[in-house]
Amino acid sequence: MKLPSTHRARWLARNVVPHEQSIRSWLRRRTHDLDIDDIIQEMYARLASLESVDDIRNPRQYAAQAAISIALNLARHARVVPMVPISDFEEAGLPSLEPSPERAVNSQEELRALENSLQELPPLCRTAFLMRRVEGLSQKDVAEKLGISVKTVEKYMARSVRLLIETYGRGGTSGAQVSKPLEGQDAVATDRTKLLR
Amino acid sequence: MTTRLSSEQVYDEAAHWAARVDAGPLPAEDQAILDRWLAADTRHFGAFAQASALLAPVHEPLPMRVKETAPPSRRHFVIGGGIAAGLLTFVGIRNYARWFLGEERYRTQLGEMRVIPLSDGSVVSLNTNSEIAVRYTADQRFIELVRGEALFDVAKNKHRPFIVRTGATQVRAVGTSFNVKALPNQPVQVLVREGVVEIKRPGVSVAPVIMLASNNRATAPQDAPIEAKPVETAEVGRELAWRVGRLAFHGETLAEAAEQFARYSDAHIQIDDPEIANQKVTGLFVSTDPVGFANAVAVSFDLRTEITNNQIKITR
Repeated sequence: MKLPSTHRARWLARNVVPHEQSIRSWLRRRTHDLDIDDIIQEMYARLASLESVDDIRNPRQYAAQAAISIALNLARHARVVPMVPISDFEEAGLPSLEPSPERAVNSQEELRALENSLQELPPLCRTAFLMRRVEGLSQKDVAEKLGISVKTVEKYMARSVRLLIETYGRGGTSGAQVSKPLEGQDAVATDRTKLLR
Repeated sequence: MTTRLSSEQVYDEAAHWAARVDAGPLPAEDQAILDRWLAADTRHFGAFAQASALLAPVHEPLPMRVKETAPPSRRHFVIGGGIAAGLLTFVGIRNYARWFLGEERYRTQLGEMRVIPLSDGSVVSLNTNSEIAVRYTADQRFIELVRGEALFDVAKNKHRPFIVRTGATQVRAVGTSFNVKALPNQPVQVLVREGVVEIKRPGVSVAPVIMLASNNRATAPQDAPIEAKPVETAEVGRELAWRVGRLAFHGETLAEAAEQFARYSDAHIQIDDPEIANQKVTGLFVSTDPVGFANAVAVSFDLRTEITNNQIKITR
């Protein structure tokens, strides 16, 4: 599996992450018994594995469209009934997402919004993350500048990203919602967690 | 056998892996584990892509001058104090006294910006040409802003108040984030970004204690009461743009902007024509690049720049 390139990661950060919340709420209003997280994760997978994104004029619509087709597939597969009949769902076509505030936000406001969402983190963790994300220093440079270990910086990055996934995507539920594992299948640790144990 | 993780677990894993990959190339062994994990379930790959997006630097790195002035660490003083017991110079005594008091000093040079993590988990960002002295004791965290400007991100600790003093002004916080500016010939300014701080001037009788909440700025003139005014969120962001090496203007005059740039480098912007000096400017600039700023201004106002040694002239 090819890892998404930095270029693609940036594209997703600029064009998809800001709309994730509205796509989620659109889905939430129209489906039940479907795991929205699953759909969103698949949506990112699709966008990350596209050969090229250069021709995508309207990333927000494109992402929403991808999410809908994933939701439809899931609904058919899982034989659960969406709240809206499937036909309507299909006819609905592009979701009429609430108009998003123009994305002409300048970088100061962006920085400010980012900092607000990171307010829950301890100051050092937040600072380390901002140095990486906003100033673009490497993790190693961040460690050096702050006089902490590279491993600690990595831990801070993971922690900050985890928090942002919640705030950007799910509206700040801070991981309080635990989605249910499918019946009959225990959530089994992956190789990595096994490795750590 | 497929193993299905809850979406929480998928996100946890994805955040960890994204942080690891972001740190640098993985050892082959771990890369293989990651590859297997990503291939096991599309959701894994999707969550990983999402986490990577959240970690991707938003801008190209700034051409910032990151000059390292080694902090005079406490260990230096210990060694110095120990060996030099017999031949104490004045400096030696002063350093020894600092060590004894548990003081650590940090300073920045012109155009330099530094982030200093403190032992309690608080973080100080020190702007250009600034100096602080940190004196921590068991029951309080005391910092003196000797000069310049600093943003304090205070780690919460109810039992150990965080106090910043500059001149006669004292700012006290428990857990919050605030900026203190002590520039020559200007009243001390305190800007609260988050939480509440208490400001007082113990020696100044006309200045009662005031509480300052987030998005408010207090100005403490020499011998007049402290004044507090609300500040728009966007302005707080602009004022703190220096932390990412930038100066943000929103309708300031060119003269005011030139004055700001003078804090960050030896090169001075000179504008003789009062009409030009009164032009309003808006935008985000690299604080250590007055030439870049002057050129940008020249282009948008149809002016010319003349650059000699340390002088940048903006003329018609």
